[in-house]
Amino acid sequence: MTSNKLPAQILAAATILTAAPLSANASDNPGTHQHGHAELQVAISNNQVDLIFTSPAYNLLGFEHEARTGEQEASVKETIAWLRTTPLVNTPESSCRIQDADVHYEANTGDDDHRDQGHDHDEKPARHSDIEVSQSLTCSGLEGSNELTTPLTIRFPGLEHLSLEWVWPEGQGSGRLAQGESLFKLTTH
Amino acid sequence: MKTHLALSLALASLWHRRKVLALVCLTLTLSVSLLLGIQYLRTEVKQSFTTTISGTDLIVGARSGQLNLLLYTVFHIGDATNNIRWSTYQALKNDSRLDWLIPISLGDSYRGYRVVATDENFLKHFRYGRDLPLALAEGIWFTGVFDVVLGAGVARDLGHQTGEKLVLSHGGGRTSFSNHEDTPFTVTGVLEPTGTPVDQAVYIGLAGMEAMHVGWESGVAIPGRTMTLEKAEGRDFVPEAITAAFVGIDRKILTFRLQREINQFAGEPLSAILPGVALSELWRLMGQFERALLGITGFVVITSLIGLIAVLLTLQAQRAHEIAVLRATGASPALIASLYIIECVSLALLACLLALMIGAAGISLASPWLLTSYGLQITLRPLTAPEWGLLASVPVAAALVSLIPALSTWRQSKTLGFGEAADQ
Repeated sequence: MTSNKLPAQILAAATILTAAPLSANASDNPGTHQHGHAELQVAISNNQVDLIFTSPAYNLLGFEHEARTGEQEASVKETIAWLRTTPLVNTPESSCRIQDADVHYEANTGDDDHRDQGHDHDEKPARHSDIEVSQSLTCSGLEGSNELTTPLTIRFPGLEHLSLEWVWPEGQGSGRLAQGESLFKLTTH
Repeated sequence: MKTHLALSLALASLWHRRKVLALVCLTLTLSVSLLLGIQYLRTEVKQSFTTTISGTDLIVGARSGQLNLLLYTVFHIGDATNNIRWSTYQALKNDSRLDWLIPISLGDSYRGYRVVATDENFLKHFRYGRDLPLALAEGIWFTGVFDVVLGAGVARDLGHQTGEKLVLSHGGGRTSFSNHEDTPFTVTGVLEPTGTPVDQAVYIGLAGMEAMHVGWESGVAIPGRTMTLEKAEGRDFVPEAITAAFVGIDRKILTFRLQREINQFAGEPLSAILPGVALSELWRLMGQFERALLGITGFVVITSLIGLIAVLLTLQAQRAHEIAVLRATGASPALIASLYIIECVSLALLACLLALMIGAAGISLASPWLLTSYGLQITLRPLTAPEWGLLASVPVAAALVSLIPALSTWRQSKTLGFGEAADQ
């Protein structure tokens, strides 16, 4: 077999080098949970955008336990309201309008006996909790443009990396934004 | 007038030193071809690699990492960790939001090539490159239980044609001692070359895969219990499990929602991956190598430009007499300095032109060979903006390096004594 030998070798090397990430949200395995890291999936069709944003609550709130002080309660309320009313992706001209938004957040109560996975929290061992946001947007002028912005990496300093995945008429692709970077370009690969 | 004079003088001077300069030009041409060639190949290989599969929205397999699932289903590298149940596949098939599914069942081989058990949807819906469908170069897609369709690479390497009978091997590996000898398959068709791993596999029906394993339950063939062509007639073979399925979704906006649902499938642990996302991640891993390669080529060009300065400076030493004559006939120091720049830039432009011609000829000659020997599809296309930029940087760099001899000549010719008069 002569064909494809070379790419095959490179690919084999690449697999050895990669610790392939297991997908989250398993039906029977606990989902992955990595502080500082969040995921934004964006599907685009015509001028419609459908997005799912998943992040450990710690990145957005600074804590994952139930709000204990008035300040923490206000912070949870404000963050959830922000996530519900701010388009999490937008065109550079900010032409996106929210059609439908849903924020799912279940703060853990701290009385669960579940063991914490080696994180250095000061409170009692507790489960991790995630915030999941799904939004449907309508953005005028989306067709023919391949640049989008997200306010997430600027709004939340706890978000060190935002993994992006997108599906748009040209195909699928992925990218990564660091803290403070907001603009991303949709490319096929 | 002055420009015209400078140009004609420069060209005359180039022609006068044509033998030495031809060699310099050759070195520069070769290094520019290398630089341009590497950049061109890099984009083409990336394009060919990242469009190994297109049009497929999700790949569904047993729970595993996305790269692993991509590698064993699309690139035929590595093995599946687990299979998915036939009932799960049926459940997915009944979901009206999924428009088509291509079942894939792996595990056997034919002389080192993977045997892929699938159905007619593979031919109908599988796409590669820029939405290119598969096509048969000869024959027809399999219809019978013991029919096989060959990938272009397999047919070419092993010299098979339609009508031939093949004995597939149990399990993987180039030389297998455990062959399905009772159930030979007949070649009904050969696929057109695609330049993707599709060329490196043989395709049979799911029923064929099931039929040839009847009597193999213990891992080896039990004489008398295996299937034969006669016994298989009229029987219905339903697999218990398949390895993975390629999924197409018409309403692409649902892709991530469907991915989540499949990942949370209650029946068994599944992984749904987006092939385009997995491919881009894989390419990002390999991106370091290609950047290193481009860096090395950049150094080759710099080395040849340094070689060009060395030659120019050597020539400069021999040109003292010529410059004195030019000065005496009224040429200004600026004119003499510009001669160097014009000569150098002309050489670089010539080298670029030659490199383009060599590149175009090389690609058109080598592309059929690359496709057949390495499965790489590289076609002749117009240069992209970054490639033009790279090419343009060569004469610009040449103009910059020519400033070294130009400035020193300008200084020397000023001291020749007629500087002031000539300038006026």
